[in-house]
Amino acid sequence: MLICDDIEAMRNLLRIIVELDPGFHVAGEAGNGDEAVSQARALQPDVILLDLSMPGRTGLDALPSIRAVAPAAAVIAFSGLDESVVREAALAAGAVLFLQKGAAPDAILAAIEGVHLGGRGAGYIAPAQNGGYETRADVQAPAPLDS
Amino acid sequence: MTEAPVHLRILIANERIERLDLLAKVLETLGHEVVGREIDVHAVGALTAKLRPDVAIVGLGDSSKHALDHISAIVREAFCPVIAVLAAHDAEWIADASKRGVYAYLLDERPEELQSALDITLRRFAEHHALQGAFDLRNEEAAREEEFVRSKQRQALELHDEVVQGLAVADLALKLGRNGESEAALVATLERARAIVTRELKELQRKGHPLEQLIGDTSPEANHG
Repeated sequence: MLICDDIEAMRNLLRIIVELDPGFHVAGEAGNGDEAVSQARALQPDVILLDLSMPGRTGLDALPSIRAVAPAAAVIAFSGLDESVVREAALAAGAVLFLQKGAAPDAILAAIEGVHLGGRGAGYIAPAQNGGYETRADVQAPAPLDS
Repeated sequence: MTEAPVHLRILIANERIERLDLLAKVLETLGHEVVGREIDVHAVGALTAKLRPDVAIVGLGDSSKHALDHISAIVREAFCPVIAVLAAHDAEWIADASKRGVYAYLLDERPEELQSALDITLRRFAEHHALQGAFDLRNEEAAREEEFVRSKQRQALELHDEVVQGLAVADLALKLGRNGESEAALVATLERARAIVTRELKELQRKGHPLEQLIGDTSPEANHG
């Protein structure tokens, strides 16, 4: 897995969550869009957790490049911005899932496992009104890019 | 319909000195202010730059190319509209003057018509000037609006980066049972949020908004009432 977030504390917490599943390991981290592209190219991860609004080159801007250099990777767009603002743009840019920051650790892990096990296009996970989390299946994943 | 009176600050220059007094008298009769007089047309540029009149009326003893160069230099360098007063009609000169930005021309062949000719020309000039002012005002307003939108954009992104991201860390740490990290993230986020609000309040105070009003505007009643 590749974890991309400009906040080190967030990367550390995400690493803890990912490593709760012994089937995953974090191969690398990135703190901005350019690093995310170069790490994706070098590591060819199965899953990339990508913060959309990092300083310098944003995750959203880097997303198409990431898809181009690591076409087999499933990219989960991870953002503190509301899904109504960025979900569509993230999916259009090549993310298979939008995950809003605020999701519970088990929901994050379930999303990672889901996209890795072929659940591309499963939709997005966002905090529900009741404080829990809901998964919607109304979003089609973009077709994989030809490598 | 009666047109509103216009008042312009006008600089007059005329190589024919006997025409200066007549021109000044006519302009004052029309309600304008003659802010400067000059008989040397070559000195008009410097005087115009110094006095900053609304318009310069430059009378010429002849309609030479040299005079035309000079008069268009006033338009270009002193940023002042120029109305040329010609002793005789010269179609070629007028066409050239028009291309060089001379606002209008008058003929003073018949002094008895000078007043009405000046009146009409200056009213048209004032209307043009007002229209230009309205365009400038609109452009300034558009620029201010654009800057306002940009500043809102910056504020929203700053709040996201400094506050939402920090709270997301605190939230996730809490859910993982890492209370110490959660608390640290909360405290840091609180400090950043306070710094943002303080900076914005100081900026608003600097722009003249009283503190009492700003604090009042932050109350729930002000925002939701």
